[in-house]
Amino acid sequence: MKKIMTMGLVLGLFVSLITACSSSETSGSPSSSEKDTKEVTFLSNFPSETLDPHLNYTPVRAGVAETLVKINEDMELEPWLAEEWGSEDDGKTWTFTIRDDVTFHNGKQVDAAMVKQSLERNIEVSEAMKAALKVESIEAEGQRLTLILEEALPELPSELVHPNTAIVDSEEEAIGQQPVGTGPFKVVSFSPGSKVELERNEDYWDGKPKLDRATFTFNEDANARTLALQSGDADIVYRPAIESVQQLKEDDTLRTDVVPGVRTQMLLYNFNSVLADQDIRKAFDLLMDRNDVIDSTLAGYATAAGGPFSNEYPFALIEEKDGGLDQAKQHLQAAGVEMKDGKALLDGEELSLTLLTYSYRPELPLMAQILQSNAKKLGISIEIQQVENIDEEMAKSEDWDLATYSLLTAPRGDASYFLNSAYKKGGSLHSAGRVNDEELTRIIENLNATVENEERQKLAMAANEVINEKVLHSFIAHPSNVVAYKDSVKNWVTSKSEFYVLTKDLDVQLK
Amino acid sequence: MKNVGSRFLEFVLFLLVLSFISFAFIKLAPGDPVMGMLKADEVVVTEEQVDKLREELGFDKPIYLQYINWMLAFFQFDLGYSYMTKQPVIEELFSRLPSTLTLTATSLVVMIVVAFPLGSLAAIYRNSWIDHVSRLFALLGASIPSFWLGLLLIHLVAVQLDLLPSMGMGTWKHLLLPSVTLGLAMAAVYVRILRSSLLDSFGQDFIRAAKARGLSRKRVFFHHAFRHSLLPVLTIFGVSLGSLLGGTVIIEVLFAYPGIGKLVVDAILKRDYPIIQGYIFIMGILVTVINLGVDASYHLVHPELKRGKRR
Repeated sequence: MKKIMTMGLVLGLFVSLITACSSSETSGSPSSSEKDTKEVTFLSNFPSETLDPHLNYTPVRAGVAETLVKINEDMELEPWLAEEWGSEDDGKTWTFTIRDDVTFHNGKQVDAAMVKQSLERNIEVSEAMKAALKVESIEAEGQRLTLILEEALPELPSELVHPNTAIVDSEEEAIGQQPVGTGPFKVVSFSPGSKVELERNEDYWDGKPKLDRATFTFNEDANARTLALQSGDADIVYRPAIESVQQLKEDDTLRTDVVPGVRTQMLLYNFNSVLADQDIRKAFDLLMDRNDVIDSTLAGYATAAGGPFSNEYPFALIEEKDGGLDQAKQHLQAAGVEMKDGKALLDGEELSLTLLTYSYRPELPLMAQILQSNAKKLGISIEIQQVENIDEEMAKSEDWDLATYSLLTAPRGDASYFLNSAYKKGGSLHSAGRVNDEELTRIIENLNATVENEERQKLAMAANEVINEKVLHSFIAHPSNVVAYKDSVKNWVTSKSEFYVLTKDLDVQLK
Repeated sequence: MKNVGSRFLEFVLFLLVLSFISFAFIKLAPGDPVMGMLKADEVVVTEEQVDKLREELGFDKPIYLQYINWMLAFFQFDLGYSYMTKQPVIEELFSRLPSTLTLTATSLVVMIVVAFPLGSLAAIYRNSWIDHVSRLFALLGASIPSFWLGLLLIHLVAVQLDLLPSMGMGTWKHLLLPSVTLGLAMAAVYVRILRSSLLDSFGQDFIRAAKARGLSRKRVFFHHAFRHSLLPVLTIFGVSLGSLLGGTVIIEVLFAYPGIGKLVVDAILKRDYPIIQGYIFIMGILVTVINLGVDASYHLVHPELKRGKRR
């Protein structure tokens, strides 16, 4: 009897412990000030080991810091901390006029000298930005900032959209934990890899932010993110588990946004292999039925790619791609491939290829399997190799023929990034595929020397046409961005660029 | 004193060998952090820029020279800076260590609270319903992957019952679900070990002698059988402690709990050498200390071992 009573007591204590911890959160009635506080919790899988804006995107995404130029939802550049800009010598010297009504969170006025300090720190701590901006020297006078570059860079305004070029007060210490920027929210606390707590910047230059507080949290597991939304631990969830989207859509208390993304999933060809033959490339292009691949690997949440750039960009090439084994077969025959005993032979040798893929984006190995299965129907054997670092493997090894790859091809609204990386000699992606096309190289060189935006877009489209016509690579899909949020969240905009998340307009309806 | 001195020398030698082997393995693994540092998937970089940065970081030098440079810095208590966050390695590792230590401690508490009573009862009431329950528990614990158990617990406790937060850190409430997930998975193993070890003890002569001396059942169990059964449990305990401190990446990811495991896995993927090397070094020290602690605890629970050695 005594034992039973003791066990009952222990069990009772355990249950009361659990209930006590929940009661303070769930059944406790909030004070009137808490009731009036507008607050949201945003949950994403964005990496966040540091809050240094020059190394991490989180400060811009969380509305803490801002850049000189931003990209809007039409994927066009627009002024942000810089009112206007221009170059008088084809992109070697750039002048920016900094807004004169902006202050940092600590009250200091933002002028050209402060921007200069921030950019200089940016170049000092980030090897990537040093390589991208190519700054030789910076001059500051009042609100006028002059950037003198090592070489002409017509896409400089687009480079300054990069969240790592955010402007902060670089005289402040602890930039990695508590950066002092100009955005609608100030950092209250930061736990690396876990969360950032924010409060409203009362003196925000672009109007009073609607939220009092916000929490920016991180979880890499898509199922856990979905459960956090369902349990009420998060108000807005970025990329919930794709298999739960339908269930979330059916929930009346939630809203789900599915917007076209600007990332491109593609098939890269190694020009040091049999894939140097245009007909063989065309055959592989036809083996990838875009809609089938999207349904099988992305549950339908993507748009078919007509070229390297998403249809959201003004310079995109909207082209419907056909797929079909018969057509693929014809192209293989045109390339001299013969069929014997169900096997494809080229110059008497069995056509056997190696395809590299990686697991960071789970749909890529699945795409590889679809291609492998379709190629087998034409007698081509493909060996799939899943590698850890795809860039390294492609660059150092010649022993591959194809690779599934994923890239933000125009991350800041300018086509030159992808074109230079993939098709210009010396580019990091070029060193992998070794595509050398004279016509395309000429177009890219023209693009690199053109400042005027409309002309740049025309050149980008011309490049697109060459890439597609010669099937230099195959572009498969642009995965959609999926965001689910509570019905009480107002003015939420799913940013196509993924750069802007917490904004001054984001609001929440109080109960 | 002589024994302490030789142990210390062994310890230093072990750390030296460990640091060299780990350094060599990290460097020999394919890839380096240069592409990641240059964010080649976001900005245009040329092969020339990649090669230049490799040279600046000294990756073109022979491995032994790179190791000597690392060692020289280490002797000045400098483990270097993370390539990705540009923060000192010591700060990065020590910012995560407290949360890992806390999670380790609470998971072990859960494991002890579940495994010790269940394992003991299963042995005492052999082939009874409680023994069958313990077997089922052990079977389920060994079969259910911890990430799935975690998801189930989140769904049940956080979503359906709304009792605890589903993720994050900050209060003790945030610790409960990850600790229970880890603790239950471990308890499944310990229940079986403790049960079989106790059953083995029950058949020993010293237990029969204790009973013959008229000692109470409670005294026979706790002072003789249970203590004797702890030896294999302590051995496994040392291993569990080491792996928990090393990081439990899946649980850290699932519950967004920023421990040392996630930091290191990210560092490995990005080839952030200073962080990896610093981690291996610190873990080497911790695991050695744990093993020494386990050795000492053998004598504590089993003083006969010490006496036996003296004889």
